[in-house]
Amino acid sequence: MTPRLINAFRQPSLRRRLALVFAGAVASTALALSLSAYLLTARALEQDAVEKAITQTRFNLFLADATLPVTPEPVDFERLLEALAIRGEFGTLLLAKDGTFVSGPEVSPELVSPDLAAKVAADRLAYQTIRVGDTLTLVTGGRLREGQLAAYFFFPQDTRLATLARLRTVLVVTGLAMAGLGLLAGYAFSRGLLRPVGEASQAALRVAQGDLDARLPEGPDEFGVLNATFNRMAANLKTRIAELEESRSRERRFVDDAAHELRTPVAALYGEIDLLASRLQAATTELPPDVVRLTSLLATDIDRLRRLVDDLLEIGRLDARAVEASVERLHVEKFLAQLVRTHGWTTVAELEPSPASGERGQPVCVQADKRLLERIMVNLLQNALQHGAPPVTIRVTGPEARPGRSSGLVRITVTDSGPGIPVEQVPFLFDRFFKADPSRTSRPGAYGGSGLGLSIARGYARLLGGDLELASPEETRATDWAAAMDGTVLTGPRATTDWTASSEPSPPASGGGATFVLTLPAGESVEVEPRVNA
Amino acid sequence: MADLILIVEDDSSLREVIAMALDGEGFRVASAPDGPAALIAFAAQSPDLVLLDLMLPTLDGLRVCEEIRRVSQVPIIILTARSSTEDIVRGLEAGADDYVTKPFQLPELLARIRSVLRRAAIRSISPRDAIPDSLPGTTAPSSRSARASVLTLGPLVIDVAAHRVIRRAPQPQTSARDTPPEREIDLTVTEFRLLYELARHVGRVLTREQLLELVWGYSYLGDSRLVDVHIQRLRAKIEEDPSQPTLIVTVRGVGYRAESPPG
Repeated sequence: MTPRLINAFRQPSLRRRLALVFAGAVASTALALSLSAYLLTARALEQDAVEKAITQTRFNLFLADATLPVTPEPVDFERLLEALAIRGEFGTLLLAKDGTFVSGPEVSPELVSPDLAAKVAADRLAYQTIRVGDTLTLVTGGRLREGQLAAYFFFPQDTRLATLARLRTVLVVTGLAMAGLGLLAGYAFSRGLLRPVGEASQAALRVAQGDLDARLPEGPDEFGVLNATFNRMAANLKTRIAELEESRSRERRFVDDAAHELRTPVAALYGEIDLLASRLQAATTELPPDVVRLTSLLATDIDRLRRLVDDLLEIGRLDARAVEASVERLHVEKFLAQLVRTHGWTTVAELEPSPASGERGQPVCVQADKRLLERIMVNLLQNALQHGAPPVTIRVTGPEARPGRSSGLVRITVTDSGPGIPVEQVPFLFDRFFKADPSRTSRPGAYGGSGLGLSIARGYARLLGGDLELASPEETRATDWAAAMDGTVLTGPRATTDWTASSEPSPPASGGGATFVLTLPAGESVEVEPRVNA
Repeated sequence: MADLILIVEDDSSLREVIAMALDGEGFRVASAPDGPAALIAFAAQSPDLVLLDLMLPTLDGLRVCEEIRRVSQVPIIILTARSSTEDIVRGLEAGADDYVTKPFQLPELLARIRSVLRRAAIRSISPRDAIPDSLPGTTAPSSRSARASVLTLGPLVIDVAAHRVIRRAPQPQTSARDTPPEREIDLTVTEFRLLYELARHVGRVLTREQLLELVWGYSYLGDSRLVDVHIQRLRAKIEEDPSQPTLIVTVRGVGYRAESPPG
């Protein structure tokens, strides 16, 4: 057998084991049958040979008795031997009581055993099987002339043995063929027998891959019962999943309906306070200071309400996986520079790609959704300005290769110059409604957070195939940032008066404050697009 | 006379505050609380722009949009409380020029309204908006075409001053008697402006960002779906076979390009 075949049979396959058992049964049956057939045949042939030999011996003895004179001369013996040799089936030995003898070729008195001689001396016809050279020989003997003479005949058994040898060959070949056929038949049989098992595993695989309509034929045998159970399980699973989907889509509908119901009044409030504020500003008559103050408080609270509603709905949408990302390739540095400009932050340095930008001087690109990325970044920057302190440094590095992935990772870090985040608060930072510094979040004029911002930002980052984490101080210090862009945001948003531009630009913070690390899948770098002249 | 704006919004507070804001900005205002009232007001007053809430009682905003588009190319801005792609795309496909998601700030809404109205005005089309060619050899024709009042793109004749697009018969000799030699194509102001910008830069790729800036006036973070949906609508009107466009072709991963096929 080739090693491959041996290996194939070494594997613990049920089907192979069944085939082997079947083949073994066939082989042992064949062996038993062959053996008994052989033994019976051998005995029959032997008996036949003995009978024939004895008959011939009787005839020979009768012939010798009849033809030899009363006092035979040596020439008579010679003649008798010649007469007997005509048949050619045996050799003859005539042995006188005095020890003299005449014999055919290849025959001599030494071949006669004392045992046989004794039986013949007792006036009996006897026989014995001996080996003459390589040949098995049947020796028969009888008494002549009152014991004066003994005649022995040597029947070679070549023919019988050759017949037996042929029979053996035939039986062995037949047996082996049967065993082989048995193996094949067993394999084929076990295939049929095990087909339900194969079908069941195929169906189970389909279910595992999400095809809940996979069903198996049911029947009265054990497999049929198993299949019926399987089918019930699959049907059950399908119902359950349909229920889950239904409840999920109900939830999604609820979120959408709630969006409409909440957003419209908030939009109205938003417009109303906007108009009210502008009308108050244009008013000619002096208003009581309380009214002015209340209007400003109202504006702040409506803004907070709007943000809270927005964030709550967004969290709901993230939970329901209803947030859609239209991912495109973005040139990070250009995107961030524009974002910082648009939101009215001022920068110490021009946010321009440094010469060391990216690998081979190509622009760093990510695969992301513009609006989601904007919300993440605005959240991080507002967070840094509000809970940390300016200056805030944005750094872009990468792309770093990821093992096993075709696209690398780009890191965007946001570091503020504040005191950092207390260690005991770090584990809860991304929790919903967690506020690191409750006393400062509701400060009028500041971006009052809903406490959901970081959870949403992380949700977006993960939706985009990246992540958002807080870098540990060690990590921040240890990393050798190959800064592609290193812009420092100095002042707060223009809408508020809390932040004043620092007159002397401080160096970018290095590990002093909190550092958030946003990782995003890298996009292929492309040539810079032609710009529109605004 | 000041532009008349029809506000279709079922929430009375929001309707009123938008009306006040628009009035304060010098617009004339009409309003309707539901779909049927909107269609009646539209027919009676023929506004210059419609602000349309997508979720309305009795008659859906999408249907209202389609009904108006059946008879008019008036600028339409949809207000939607849902920021899901499906909703916005459906609104744009129904023929809206732009959209604003609730809750919005009044200045944002006013900016969108002014941008769409500007699109309708010819004076806003000026050579200043031309994208400078990087190749010196092609600068001259580009700047000349920017000033031209009539542009051609294949069988299309774009009359900038009259704000009209005419399709000439492809082959006058063989054209059958029942097809008129010339046919005017009705385009919304946005579709017209989109076609104009592409035709003006014929043979050059314009990115979605560039188109957003040139057509919609977004200088930052516009929605590229606006471009894609309007390109589809434009193709449906001007292409022989919109599924195999020859006049406005997509340049994958970059943007769109107008091509003037020979003949």
